[in-house]
Amino acid sequence: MKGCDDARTWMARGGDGSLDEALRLALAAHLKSCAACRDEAAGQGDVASVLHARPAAAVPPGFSARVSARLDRGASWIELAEWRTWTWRLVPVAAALFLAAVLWSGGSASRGQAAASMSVALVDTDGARAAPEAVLWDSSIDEGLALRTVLTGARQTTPGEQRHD
Amino acid sequence: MTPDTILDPDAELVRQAAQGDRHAFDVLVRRYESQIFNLARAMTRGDDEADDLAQEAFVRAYRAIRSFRGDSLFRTWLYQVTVNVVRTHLSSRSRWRRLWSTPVEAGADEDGDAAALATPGFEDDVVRRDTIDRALAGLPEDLRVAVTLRDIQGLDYREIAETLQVPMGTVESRIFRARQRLRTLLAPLLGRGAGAPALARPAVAAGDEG
Ligand SMILES: [Zn+2]
Repeated sequence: MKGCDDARTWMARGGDGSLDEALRLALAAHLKSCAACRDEAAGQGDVASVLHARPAAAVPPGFSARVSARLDRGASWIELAEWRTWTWRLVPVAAALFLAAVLWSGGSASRGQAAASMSVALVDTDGARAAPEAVLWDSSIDEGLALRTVLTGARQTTPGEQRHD
Repeated sequence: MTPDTILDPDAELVRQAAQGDRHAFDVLVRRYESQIFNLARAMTRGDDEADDLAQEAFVRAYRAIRSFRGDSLFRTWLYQVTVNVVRTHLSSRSRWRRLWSTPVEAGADEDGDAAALATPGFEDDVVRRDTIDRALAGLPEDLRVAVTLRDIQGLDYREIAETLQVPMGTVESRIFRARQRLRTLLAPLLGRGAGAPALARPAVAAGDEG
């Protein structure tokens, strides 16, 4: 039994053919006397053979040209899909406009009102975290909470984050 | 960048690309497009998805190329970028799936396998590849990536450990367990392919006829 455990460890270690000579001989000796490990080793080798012979898929035509075109363009789609990226990029803009709004609100009443509604919209953008569906991209939130949040349509807090009543 | 760095066949092109030479980077794209596309494809199944993700990997690599220090081969670093892009994609996708999909999907895949295996033209490359990719898809992600890098991409364990940033022992064990599971998942292929390609690396079986 102990011999089999060692043998399997050596098989795993030598899975890229790089087992050192002493261990390779020890493994060979064990395999000679153990049918179960021989079978295990054969299985490892068979699977490696089949995978190695996997026919490569042809790269779709025009691939490198498309990469080039994407490099000419701006941010990639994955970056755009990551709401944290665009949210945080907007923070300084939102802050500046909010400040401007506060300053303007000291002026005429009508101008102040317009600025206040603008600031609400901007703060909302900044807080994309508050949108119920945003939890789907938030890796810090567990599935149960994410599901509840999406199903109920309301952002809920994690236990450690805020007191929940 | 480091003086005693490994001899990297891509070093000169990488240096030029890091200085903004897009032509040099294009050469690197063409050099590795097949490997990166096939890695993405083996990890995701589906040409369109793999095409998108492989493109994304190159775009990210180009943007970050100045941060590549030459501590590993450029190829290893590129694999690392690709694995990260695909993993990010898979984790957001699986989050959606767990929330919205019905559990029928897995069963449907198995039926597809059975149908494919019963097809007379089974030896056909496309079907063979799809069968392998479906089997890979049946593995947990960490096992799938490790065995793909080893047995499909041909990286050695040290390179895989660098790519995945895990210890060698973890790589060894993941690949061993992945092959154990694949033996069952690929059983029909293994059975039929008894006399099949022996061009595999000797791996562990090498020692048994001593
Ligand atoms: Zn044994």
